Amino acid sequence: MTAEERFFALYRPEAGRLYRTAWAILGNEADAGDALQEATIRAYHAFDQLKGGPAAFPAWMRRILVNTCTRILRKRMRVIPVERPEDLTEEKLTSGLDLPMEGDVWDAVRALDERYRSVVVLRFLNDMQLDDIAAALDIPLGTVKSRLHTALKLLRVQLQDRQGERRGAV
Amino acid sequence: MQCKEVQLELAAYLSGELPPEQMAAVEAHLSQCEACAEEAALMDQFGRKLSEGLKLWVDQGVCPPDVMERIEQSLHQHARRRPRWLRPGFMAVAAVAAVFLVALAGARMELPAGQLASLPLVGSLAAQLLGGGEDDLDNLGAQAVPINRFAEGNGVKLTVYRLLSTSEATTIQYSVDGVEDGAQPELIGPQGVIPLERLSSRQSGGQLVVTAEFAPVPAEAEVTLTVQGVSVTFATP
Repeated sequence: MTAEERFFALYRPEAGRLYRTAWAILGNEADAGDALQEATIRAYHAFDQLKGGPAAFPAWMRRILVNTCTRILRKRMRVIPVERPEDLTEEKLTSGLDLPMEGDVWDAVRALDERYRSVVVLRFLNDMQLDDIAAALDIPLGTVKSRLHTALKLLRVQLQDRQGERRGAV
Repeated sequence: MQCKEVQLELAAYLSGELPPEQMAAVEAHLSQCEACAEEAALMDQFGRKLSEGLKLWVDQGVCPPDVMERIEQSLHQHARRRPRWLRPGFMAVAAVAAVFLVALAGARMELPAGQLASLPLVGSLAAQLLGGGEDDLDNLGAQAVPINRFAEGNGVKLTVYRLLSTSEATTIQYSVDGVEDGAQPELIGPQGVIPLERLSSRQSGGQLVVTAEFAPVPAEAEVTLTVQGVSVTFATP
């Protein structure tokens, strides 16, 4: 078995998850495909540095992909204006929120502005610590906290609206 | 702490990412403020469900066949391509040059690089290996732009000094600490791996200073140079 065949034997079962991870971070499928291609070539060239055998491949590959995606985000975010969280209305959450189906969760997350979507995805999909998110996106830790705070408020409102619509339709 | 301040720190508090004194301050506030305590509980619950929802959505993903095909083809091309300095023809010339240089050393001959360059077949390579001659890869000239960025990891320090970008080639000068002479650089641009065309290296002040010539990269493109797993990202002028 060649190195290429060994690589793809581990890569193919992960491809769908990797594609959606890139899509979640970058917000669109075209950029997700390009980022996945770049990360895959990068990973293949570093394949001999994979430690921990085949079991370590999914997390290793995902880390390379997330690094590739955040590098693209950093470049993209340089042209995004500074947010004004004070413009957002204060929304109080009602208790006992039942989150809708996972498709709705993604629909709500993807509808967020890039600044908010990226921190939500890195935090809640990739389980990154706040200071790691700050380093990955090259923004201050305080900005990560305020974006996350704002994003969660927006998501709660959006998901509650969707729940309300669904209940109204029943 | 004020309620607004506490609410901004709730995410870090819930995952234990605050310094001990701040953890204690938030905890003290939550024990006294019912509204913030309720907000913390809801945020914890909401965060868990958000995480589950996103992970489930990712787990159900399928890579579109056209993307998968493009990736497989691209990787297949990269897997088959070897850098020019590792290709058989180039290696044969290098081997002849090496034999020639050993013979020179054995005979205690001393020839300036300029005279070496005029020798047939091995001349320019020998001159290059001795650090002289017209085709000196080290000499980037005044048009090179400073980069001066570095990264460290795994006991390796990579410092990128200068970049010369022309329509024919992109040449990068960098140094590496803690790496063997044979470490091959990899340059990745927006379209993937950029082929390495030539490589020269010399020891300077205990560091390995390397000049690597790659295929041309478009202007204002973000590229990443990786040596032994350590990467530095910068933009072409």
